[in-house]
Amino acid sequence: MTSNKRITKELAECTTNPPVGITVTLPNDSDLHTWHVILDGPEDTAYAGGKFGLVVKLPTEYPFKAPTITFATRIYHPNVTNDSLGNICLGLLKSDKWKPSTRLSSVLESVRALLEEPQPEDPLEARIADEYRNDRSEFDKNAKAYVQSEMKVREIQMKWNGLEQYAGLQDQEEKRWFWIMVWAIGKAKVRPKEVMASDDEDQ
Amino acid sequence: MDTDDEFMSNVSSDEDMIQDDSDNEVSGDEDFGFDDEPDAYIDSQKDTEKKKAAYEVSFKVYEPTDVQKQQDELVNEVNMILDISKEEAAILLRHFRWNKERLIEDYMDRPSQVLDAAGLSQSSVRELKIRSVPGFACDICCEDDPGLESFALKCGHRYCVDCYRQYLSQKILGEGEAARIQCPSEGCNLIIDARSLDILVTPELTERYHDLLHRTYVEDKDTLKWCPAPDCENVVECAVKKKDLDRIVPTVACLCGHRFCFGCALNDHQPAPCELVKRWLKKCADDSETANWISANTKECPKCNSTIEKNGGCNHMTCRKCKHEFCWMCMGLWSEHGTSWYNCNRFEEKSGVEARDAQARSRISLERYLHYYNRYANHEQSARLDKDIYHKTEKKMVQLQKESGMSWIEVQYLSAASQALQMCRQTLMWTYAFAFYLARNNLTEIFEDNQKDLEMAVEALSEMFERPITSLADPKLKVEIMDKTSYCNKRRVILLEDTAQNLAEGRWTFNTDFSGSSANAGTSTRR
Repeated sequence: MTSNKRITKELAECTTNPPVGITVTLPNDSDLHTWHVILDGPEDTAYAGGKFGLVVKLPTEYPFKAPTITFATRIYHPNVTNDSLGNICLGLLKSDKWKPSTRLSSVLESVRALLEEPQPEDPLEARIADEYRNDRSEFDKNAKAYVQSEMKVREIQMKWNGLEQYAGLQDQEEKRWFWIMVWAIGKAKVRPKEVMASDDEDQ
Repeated sequence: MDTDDEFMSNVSSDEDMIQDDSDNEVSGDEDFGFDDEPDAYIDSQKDTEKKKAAYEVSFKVYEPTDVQKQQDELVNEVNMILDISKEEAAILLRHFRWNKERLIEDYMDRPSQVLDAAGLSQSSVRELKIRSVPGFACDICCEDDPGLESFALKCGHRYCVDCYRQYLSQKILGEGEAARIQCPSEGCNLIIDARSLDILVTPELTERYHDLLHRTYVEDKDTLKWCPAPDCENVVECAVKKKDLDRIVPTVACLCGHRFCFGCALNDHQPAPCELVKRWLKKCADDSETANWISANTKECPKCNSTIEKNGGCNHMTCRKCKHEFCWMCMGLWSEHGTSWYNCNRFEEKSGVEARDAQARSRISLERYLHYYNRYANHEQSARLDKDIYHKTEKKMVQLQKESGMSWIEVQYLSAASQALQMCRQTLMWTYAFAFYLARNNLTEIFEDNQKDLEMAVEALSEMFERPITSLADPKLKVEIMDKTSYCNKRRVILLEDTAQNLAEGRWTFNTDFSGSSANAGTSTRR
C-alpha cells in the first residue's frame, strides 16, 4: 500500500486547491481508489453550463499504472464514446505514455482541455468527429442539445428520486414501470422518451 | 549392391541435407549468385531484385548467441565510429531500427537532434549511482524519510529506489517493454540504458530485460524473423521483402527442422503465394462445412435459384420466395405432373431437363470449390498421418537394425522416405489451393500434369512405406523405396520450379484479383 500516501496527498490537493471547474469527491471514504469528479463545461464552448460526472478508478498499481477515467454523464463529443460506458481516448493514459510522476490534477485538466478542444483526428465517435470538422454549427447545436437534455433528465431524476425510494423499488423492471406510470399520470414535464432513456442509461 | 545403396541413399537424403545443413547458405546448387557474404545482411536486401526465379530463396538461420553477437558487433562499431558509450550506441541503434548507415549519416549531420530524438539528452554527465540526498522527497510515492535512497538519470529527475524498481518491473514484466523505457518524469523522454538498469534491478529482471532487448533487435529488422515452431529460439534471416511476395514464395527451414514461409510465418505453402493462401484459408474457414452441407442437403429453386432444404416428405415443392411450384425429384414443373402425386416418373420431360441443367450450372462453382477443397484437406490429413508414421519409422529402423543386422546408416532410407512424403504432401496440398484460383490456359495443363505425376508418385511411395517390417528388410523393396523417394523429390522440384518460375515472371492468370490487399499492385496478369 505504498500508493496510499501518494493518493491521499493528491486527493488533499484536489479538494483543498482544486483546478478550475473541477470538483472531486470520494463516494466511499474507505476506498481511496474510486473518485467522483464533477466537471463544469468550459465557458465559450458548446458544453458551457453543463455538469459532467466522471468516475476515476485508480488501479492498485497506481501510480505505476494509469488511472481509468470514464464519463458517467453522456456527452456529445468526438473523443468520448456516446454510450453508457463513456470511455475516453486520452493519449496521456495510454500505457506507453503514462508516467508515474503524472498527477491526477493534470489528468483532469487535460480531460477538461479535451472539452475545450476536441481532437477529431483521433476519434472514438467517427461520425461526431466528421461533423465537428465539416459542420461546426451543427455539431455545436447537437452538443448543446445533448447537454440540455442530460441536465433535464438529471433534474427530473433528482426531483423524483425520493419518490422512487419511497416506493421501495429495487428491481430494474419495477423502476422502469414506475417511471412509465409517473409519466402516464402526466404531472412530469418531460417527454416519455426522456423518462425512458434516463431509466435505461443510468442503471 | 552395396555401393549402389550408398549412392542412392546419398541422393535421397538431399532433401534432409537442406533441412539439417546449419550455418551455410541453404540452396546449394540452386544458388543464384545471391549475395552470400556472411554479414552483409543490409546490402543483401538490394540484391533481391536481381535474383533469378526459382522456388528456393537464400536464407540463414541464427542461434540466439549469433543474434547477440551481431548486435554486439553493431554496437561496437557505432561505439568506435561515433565515439559515444556502448549504452548510447545501443539506444541510438534501436532508435534507428538497427540501420547503422542511416544512424551514422544522421549523427554526423546533426548530432544533438539525433540524440534528443532518441531520448539521449546531452545535459551534464554525472556519475550514475544510488545515493541518499538530504531533503529529498520522492515525487512518486511522496515519501520523504531522511536517508531515503534515490536514483536519477542524466536528466536529474530523482526518484526513490523503490519507486524506480517498481516502475521498471511494471514496464518490463507488465508491459514487456525494454528498449524504450523512459525516465519516470512526466514529459522527459530520456531512455533508461542497460547499465543504469543493472544498477537498479534484481538479476531476474535484468535477464528478462535483456531477453526483451534481444527480441526488439529481431522485431525491428525486416530481414529477421523468429522461427514460429514452439520452443524454438532461432532466428531466420531472409532478404525477401513484403512487396515481392506476389512473385515469390520464400520457404525457409529452421535448424529445428520446421519449414515455414518467411513472408507470412505460416507452414510451408509452396507453390501458392501468401495472398492466395490467406484467401484460401479464409474461404475454407468460412465455407467448407457449410458448403458440404448445402451440397448434400439442398437444391436450388429452378426459377429463382434460392437454396431450398426439403423438410417434409412431399415432393411437391413451393418456393417460399418466388412461389414457383416444382417437383423435388425431377425439378420439373409440378403442373405437368397431373395426378401422379408423390411418385415422379417423368424424367424425360423437357421442362425437367432444363431445370436440371440450370441447377447443374448454379452448382458448378460450389462443386469446383469442393473438388479442390477435398483434395487439399485429404493431403493435409495424410500429411498428419504421415507424421505419425514418421515416429513409427524410427522404431521400425531400430527394429530393422536388430532383425536384419543392417547398420544405422543403411536404414536411413526410411527416414528419407518419410521426410520426402511429408514435404511432397505439403506441396500437393497447396497445389490444390493454387489450382482453385487459377484461370485455365496451357500453363495450367502443364501444372496439372506435374501435379498428377507427383501425386501418383507420392501415393505409390506411401503405399510401399506402410508395408510390414519383415518385407522392409527385403533389399529389393529397399531399392524400390529409395528410387521412389528420389523420384518423388525430383517431381516435387520440377513442379515447384515450374510454378515459381512462372510466378516470378508473372505468367499465371488467376481468376481472382489478389492485388487488392497486398502491398504491391502486381498480380500475375499484368504482363
